[in-house]
Amino acid sequence: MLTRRHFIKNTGLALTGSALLASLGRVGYAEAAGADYKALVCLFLNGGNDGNHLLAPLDAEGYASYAAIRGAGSGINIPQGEWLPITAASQGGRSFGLHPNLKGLKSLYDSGNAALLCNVGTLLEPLTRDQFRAGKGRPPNLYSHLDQVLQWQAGSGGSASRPSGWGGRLADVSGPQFNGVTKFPMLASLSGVNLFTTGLQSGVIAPGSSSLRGFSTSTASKARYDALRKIEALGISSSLGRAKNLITGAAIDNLATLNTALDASPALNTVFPASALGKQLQTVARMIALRDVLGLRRQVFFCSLGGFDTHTNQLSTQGSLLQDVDASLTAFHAAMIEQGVDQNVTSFTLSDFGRTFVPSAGAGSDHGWGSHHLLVGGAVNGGNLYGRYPNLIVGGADDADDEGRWIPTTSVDEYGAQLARWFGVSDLASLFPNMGHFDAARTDLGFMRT
Amino acid sequence: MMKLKRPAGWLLGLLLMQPATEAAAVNKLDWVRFLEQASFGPTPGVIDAWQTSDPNAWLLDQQSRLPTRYTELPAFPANQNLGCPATLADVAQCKRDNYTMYPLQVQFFNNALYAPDQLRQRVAYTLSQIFVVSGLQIRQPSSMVPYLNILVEGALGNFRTLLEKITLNAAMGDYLDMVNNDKPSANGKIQPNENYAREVLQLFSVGLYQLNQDGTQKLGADGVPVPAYDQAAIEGFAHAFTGWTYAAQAGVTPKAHNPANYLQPMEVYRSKGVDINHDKLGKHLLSYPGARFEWLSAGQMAETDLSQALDNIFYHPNVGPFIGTYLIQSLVTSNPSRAYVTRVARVFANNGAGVRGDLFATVKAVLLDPEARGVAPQSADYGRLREPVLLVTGLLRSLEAGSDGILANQTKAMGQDIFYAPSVFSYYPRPYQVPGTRLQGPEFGIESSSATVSRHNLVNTLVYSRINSAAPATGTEISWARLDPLSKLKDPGPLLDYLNHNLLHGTMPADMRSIIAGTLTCPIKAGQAECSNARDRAKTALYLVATSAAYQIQR
Repeated sequence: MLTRRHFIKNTGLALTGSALLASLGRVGYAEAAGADYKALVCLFLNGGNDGNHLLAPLDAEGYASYAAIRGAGSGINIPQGEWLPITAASQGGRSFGLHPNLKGLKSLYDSGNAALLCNVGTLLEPLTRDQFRAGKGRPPNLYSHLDQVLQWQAGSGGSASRPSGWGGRLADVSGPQFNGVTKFPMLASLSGVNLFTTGLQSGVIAPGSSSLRGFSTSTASKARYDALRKIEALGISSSLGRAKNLITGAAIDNLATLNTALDASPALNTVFPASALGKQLQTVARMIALRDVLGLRRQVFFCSLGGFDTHTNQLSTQGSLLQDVDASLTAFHAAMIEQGVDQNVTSFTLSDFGRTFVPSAGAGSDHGWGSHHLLVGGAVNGGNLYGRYPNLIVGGADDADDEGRWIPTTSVDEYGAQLARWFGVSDLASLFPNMGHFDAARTDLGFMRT
Repeated sequence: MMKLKRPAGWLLGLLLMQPATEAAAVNKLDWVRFLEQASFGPTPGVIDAWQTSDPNAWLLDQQSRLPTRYTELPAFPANQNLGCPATLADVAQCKRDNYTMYPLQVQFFNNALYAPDQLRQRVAYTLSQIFVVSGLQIRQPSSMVPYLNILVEGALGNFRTLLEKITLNAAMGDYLDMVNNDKPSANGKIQPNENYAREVLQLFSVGLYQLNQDGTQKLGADGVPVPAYDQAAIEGFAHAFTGWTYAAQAGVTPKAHNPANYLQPMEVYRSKGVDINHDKLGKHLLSYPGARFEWLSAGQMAETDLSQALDNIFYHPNVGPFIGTYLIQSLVTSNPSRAYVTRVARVFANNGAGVRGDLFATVKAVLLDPEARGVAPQSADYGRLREPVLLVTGLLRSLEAGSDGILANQTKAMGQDIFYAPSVFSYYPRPYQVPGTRLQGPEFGIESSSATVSRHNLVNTLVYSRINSAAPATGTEISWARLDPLSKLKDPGPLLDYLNHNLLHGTMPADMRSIIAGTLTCPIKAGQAECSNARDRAKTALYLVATSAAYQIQR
């Protein structure tokens, strides 16, 4: 483990100019992070992952209900024998299958390190088909990408005048409690700006670029650097200019700190896929390794993978994306075991929405609603399904209309609240104000070990 | 129809109210500001033309310029290994030129930097962020050329014409799945594809909510915004848009689903004269007061349904404020006043000659509006963050750079990989509220810590180095010809005046100016009259101006 002295010695930080010195002064170091470390890693599947092809029933009756709509002639059939069978005690012993490309995750599921939460989605309150058809309780702009992404990332908290994400609010609440003096952000996005990691007080870092370039220790260079920072700190009249300066100033400091620490840290032995997602999760793993250097006992990460909007050619497109998800999440879990923090780190998926169970022209599916999501980590109560799996009946009680848009039976708020509770937050209502709309006594959501 | 206040008269009024010299100076700074809004950035040459031009005359001149089109490219086999066999001398270059957006990116930056039809190119670029087709899905540059040329040729034409051409463009058909979108299957188990239907409404024309003409959302009795349409309307459009496939190649018998052909518009498949893949039932489209074609009659041909469906969209009262707001935000300011949007929407609805959807008139209204013109922005909330593309082109044009146009990696590092938009929501989503403010700032949606430091590093590269390209390409390098004579002078005033004028149209804050001046030392060697570190002084000043919020926020 790196000590502060080790860190400075091995980075030559004292010699790298005023930028780094300035930022170092803003970093605090946890005295002994030790066992009380936790991180949440959100993987957002952009475009709306088809949960119907993440998880499907394999028992005779269940698969028949699947094949009745997505049978051999539908253009998007996955044959019964190709699914990876799993057992789920929670579902009365029914047999289910994971997508054929999720071999690594099936193994993690079988070993108790992965689980799925069924039919979760944006909800204001519990909702039946009859209520929905009567126009009651509808979240705004269902089936619209941008709006559903924002609702998933916001949860029920935040406000129209000050939008925030539940990852950001989680940091607002837990940062002061757990991270103490450090000024280095506990929020990190490996996928640029997003609402999930937007808090009301907490900053966020997006690793990925080099630190500020072009400065040396010469007098002229120092003068120019000082001028740059002074201009950035001026009280200018432009509102957008001030917002830009805040972003830029924090970025210069935090990237210098992070990149210096990354350069000094040993490589991980775990091999990650060369995919963009593999690289994102590799950086997450390396930042987790720096938790003591950065003085962080709680971290929240955001990664994403795009391409799930499979209106056409779904089988091949989703298949290769899920292969990437499988390889990347599996490698990430291995990297957590390598560091001895697999019990301390939980990764989980979110997505715009599920997709219509009824295929659309072109061998794809359209924008849906409720969907199934993955959880991975040693703290996950793995090897089981949670929530309630929908009945795959088009126009049935679980369908919002007649195309198989599943009405969620678990809300985003309930999903996030379980993770927040594990993270150490007790005041869940402040994070998810709508929690009171749902049954606090539900026992089928215990997907985290307590 | 209220008459628009004549912008030229407004400028004239300003001139008459002030002493001649002061009025001229004001006018010149506004001219610089105008060029930031209407083009890919003011060049010193165009700035100097201010005495013989004005915004109104410039716009008319620009309208008459011939479009600089993208060069047509041949379609290659879908399989890259067939199109670029291993026997080629340079397989990597073959793939780059025929299976990536690279050649179009190079043309884009060349056009942005040097094409004479600046207004058209800038508006086409803006429209490419509304009517998005992405190279993430469309693999060959040849497939994108017709789409890009529709935008270039239609940028200053009529919105209805543009909407139809874009709808039938094969790359769009592929990207949003209107191509080979068949009527419901006989057993009803496969439904028409809703992708184009949903996005043409949500992103290209109407938006999610009913709008007032000032761009604000209409609220229901419960205070909640009123949706502009429901899922049933989307399904109506999805059915209306059935029956189209790629155009058949000449001499080849058309099939229900023709092989991919991106070089021609999509066409309706007919078997024995009947468009059998088109849904023939009636369809319910958008409802609004005085709606055109709210219902499509049963039994109509695919072409009739399409034309009427697009009319139904085009005449929706949202389109003016929706597109108008988009254009204002892309060209002038992220937070326009309601009155500004109203004035622009009014011109969209009627260009003065009774024509709806005249994009030139609409753009002109955006650029000549009192809220866009004048010596200084009226409010603290005014302006927009230059997105990476405009940051690069603005700097390079201001500094008369020589460039081969190989610049896509620079904007990619800042979060904008041109022609590879991550989704149909383009590079940054709208609306987007800037954290810590109550302001809209779409371009902030990609301003991550990584991207923002990359902006500084880009300026560093341009000022202290150059962008190199593999030979025989020449790279990109700015010119110091105008700055060198000024930076030799002991007095930093002329150098800072020049940068303030040409990059900031005179808005440099006094404290910023004194900070920069404080860094500009001037050692003078014995027997010399000028600073020995002239180029370094120019570099320091330029770096500090170009990285400042005063420049990065276009005001």
